[in-house]
Amino acid sequence: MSKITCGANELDDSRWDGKTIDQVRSELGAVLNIPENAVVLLNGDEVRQGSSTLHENDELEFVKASGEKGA
Amino acid sequence: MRRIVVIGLGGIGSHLVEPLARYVSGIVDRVELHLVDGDTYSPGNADRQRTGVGQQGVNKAEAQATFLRPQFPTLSISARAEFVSERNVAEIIVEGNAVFVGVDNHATRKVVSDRARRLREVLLISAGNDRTDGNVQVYWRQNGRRRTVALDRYHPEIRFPTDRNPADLSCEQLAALPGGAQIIFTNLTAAALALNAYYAATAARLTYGEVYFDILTNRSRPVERK
Repeated sequence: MSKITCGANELDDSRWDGKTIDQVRSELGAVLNIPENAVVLLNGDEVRQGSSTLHENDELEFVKASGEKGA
Repeated sequence: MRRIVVIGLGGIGSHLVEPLARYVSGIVDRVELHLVDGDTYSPGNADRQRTGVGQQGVNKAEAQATFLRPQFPTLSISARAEFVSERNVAEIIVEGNAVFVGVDNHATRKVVSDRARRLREVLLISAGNDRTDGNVQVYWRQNGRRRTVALDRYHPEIRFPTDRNPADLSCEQLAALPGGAQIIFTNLTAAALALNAYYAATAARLTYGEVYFDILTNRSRPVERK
């Protein structure tokens, strides 16, 4: 079962095992509100190849942009 | 003397500073609390920002210092009525400081993060939010080594900010800036998570470099960054 995260949201599901990063982004972009230019981390390491495939127990994070406001 | 700097006394900073002062006054001798903000309180801030009576039109850092001093006489509380910029950041953030940042632009976050990179000992806690979600980042350096990553490490919006530092804007430009819709509960959550991170770091129990939150789902997710 792999984990997909973006911001405070996370999904654990074996359905993502074997899918590429691009496929995950395409399917979950709206659900997880994935920013278009999000940095992508696979098990904590930055990846630039959307063709990388998820394996069981992988954690894929689409790094959500930092909140801008606060003042 | 331990020195804690709070940059930004608006939506997040104004809710963060009093519990911070209350906490450190109870446990630490000789703490200096240094408040920094170039902005003033306006009537439009009243729905989100904690201000005292008669503080409209008063510089935010000075207003909070005036409010806090009588409550916490054991603290040395100072105020600097300026926006942080490359011109003054080296005076504001020095070795050994704990720094809270609650500003409304990534340009300032970039300036502060770059300054922290040059220090051997610093605990930088930066909070930011959008309307109903946000995050807190911790950049911690000890003995010249980073224990967590810099603010812009995985955040290109901070590394290459498209907004502008208020210190570089004229009064007219500042007045014309869109405020951005915010909710007090989002600000409060960001402030609380920033204080949690401070406690965890000072208790040597910090296990994450960033925490995201969402007030609609009431979720928070800490993340350890490599």
